[in-house]
Amino acid sequence: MELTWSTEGLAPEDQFAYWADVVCEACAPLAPVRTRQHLTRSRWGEGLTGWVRAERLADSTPTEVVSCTQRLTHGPAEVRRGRDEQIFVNLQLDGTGRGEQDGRRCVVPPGSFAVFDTTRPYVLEFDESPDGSPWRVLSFKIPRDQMLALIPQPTLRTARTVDARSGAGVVAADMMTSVWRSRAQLSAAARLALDHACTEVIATALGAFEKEGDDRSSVDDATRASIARFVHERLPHGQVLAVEAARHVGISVRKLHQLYDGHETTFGATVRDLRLQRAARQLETGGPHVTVTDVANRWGFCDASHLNRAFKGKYGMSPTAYRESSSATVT
Amino acid sequence: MAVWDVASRPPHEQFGYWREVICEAFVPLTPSRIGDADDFRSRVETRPLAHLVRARLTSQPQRTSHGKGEVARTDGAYLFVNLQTAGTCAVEQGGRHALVQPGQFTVVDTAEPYRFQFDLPWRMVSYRIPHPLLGGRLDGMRRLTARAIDARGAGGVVAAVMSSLWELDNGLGAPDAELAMVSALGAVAGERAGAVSDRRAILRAEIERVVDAELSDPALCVATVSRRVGISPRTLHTVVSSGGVTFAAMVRRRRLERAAVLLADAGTGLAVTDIAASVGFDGPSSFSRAFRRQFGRSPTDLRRAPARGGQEVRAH
Repeated sequence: MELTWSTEGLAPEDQFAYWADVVCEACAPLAPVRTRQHLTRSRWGEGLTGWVRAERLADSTPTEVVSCTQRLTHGPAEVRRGRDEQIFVNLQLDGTGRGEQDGRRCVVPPGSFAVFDTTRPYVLEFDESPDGSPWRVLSFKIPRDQMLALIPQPTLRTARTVDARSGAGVVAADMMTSVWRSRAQLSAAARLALDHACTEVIATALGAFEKEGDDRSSVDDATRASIARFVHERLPHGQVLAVEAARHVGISVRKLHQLYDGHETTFGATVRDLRLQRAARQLETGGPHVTVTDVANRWGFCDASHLNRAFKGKYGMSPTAYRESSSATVT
Repeated sequence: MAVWDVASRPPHEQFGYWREVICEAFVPLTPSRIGDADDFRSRVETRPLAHLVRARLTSQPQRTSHGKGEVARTDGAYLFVNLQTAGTCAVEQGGRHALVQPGQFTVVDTAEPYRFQFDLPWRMVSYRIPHPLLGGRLDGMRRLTARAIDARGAGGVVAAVMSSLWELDNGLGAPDAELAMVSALGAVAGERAGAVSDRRAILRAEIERVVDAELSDPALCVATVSRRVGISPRTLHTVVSSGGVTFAAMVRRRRLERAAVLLADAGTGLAVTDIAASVGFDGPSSFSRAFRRQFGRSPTDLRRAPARGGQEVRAH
């Protein structure tokens, strides 16, 4: 279902408040500001003109935002106000974006993207393009835990421009735009598959930064992340065997298991964790006729009691309790 | 990266070189030319990735056959995804055939015979995908072969990814980027399969709803339910058995689960015999027997000590 908001038809004095509400609703809590400098260099010298179009795929929500030169702040107050923990992948379509988070700054020209984490403060600034058209951004809102499971480093490299020099970055950008463009023609199954495919390929592009570190540990981190992405992609289609994962990333099975020596996790635990994530999602969205046994069977657990045990270990509650608590929240 | 261009040979040798080239670059294939021009201007550029092989081809009118002999001679098993960029391709595999226009793509499986016919000079982008890269999706993809698929919707994403992947260097991120291609293809395949399974799930839910409404009738049968839902008894059996049970077993389970809920709820004050009747059992002894087989204890035992939280006895 697509949602659109626009400042069209509003008087300038009402536009700001409306826009603030709109971006908060569609994206994250963000406070818009237009300073005198913004106004001077903008084609829109007063008020705030813009529109937003959002449409949820499955777990992630792509949102197209078009507006005039401004700054958007996700400050400490906004961090506290936020309900969900999300990652925003901001792909610049027109105009220029600038961002700042975790002490890093980036400049994002059209065709490039950068990511931001709503659990910490960040600032975004957008400029109209030199020919006077408004800036446009395609922003993918992705659940934070999903993204973190697929990238090498424990903390996400926020405010870093991923551009055309990174081949994986181009594939990610092209995939995001083509999925957005064809969203009306996608079946429910296709939306889910492409939603996850986008998250995986974005994670790949982000992980590419690890190539810069030559040392063993960052290559190992990158390989572990690559394995996680492979498992993530394969999971809905049957068993995920260590031998297949090893072949995919080009190492031996022995080396694959060694990669997890001295780490908190193992290959088996990575697979189990991702299975539990998918089970949790199905419990949230599956509907009342889907039983816990169905979910257990679907995601490779012998039976409901095995799923129960593993589920409590990860989420601290039973699958039934999880389903009840998630249906109580309005999405 | 490798480029073969027949222009390096004199015109009368060009078709022969092309025949060698396509076997070299792809899989055993036998081309036969259409028309009688002197030359056979053709070019192939290949760019291997981690597991995929990417190729761009230009050539002339011809028929290409991957017959039984070629299937036997093929090393390994692959799917080809061919995006037509100029000219047309008539493809045939597995009893299906289609005419692929520029902007469309088609899929063929080297493990079975297939044929192409190009009536005009043509160009295509062709990605060769080894079966193992597809994993559990392979069966779904096989159902996709020899169709002309538009670059719209999920097909549009496939075309965009193919175009994007062409430029990618074969580095650390390559295996993951290849997964993007596999996922996008899976989405296209899923579009055909998904329609079927969604419909089944909807029908199954409707059947269960009708059964639940008529549970108290001991004579509840396939004929009544299928008539009520508006499907044939055969369809009903197909849909119910795709959930792993027979109709009779499904009805029995729902009767027993509703009985368990009533028994566990101390407030009803109904006798066990009355509960049995209300869920459509003919007599109390057949009820007790069936109940014990399903839940491992007798109805009276359950009434005396219902499960904590009632979780065991949820009626679905």
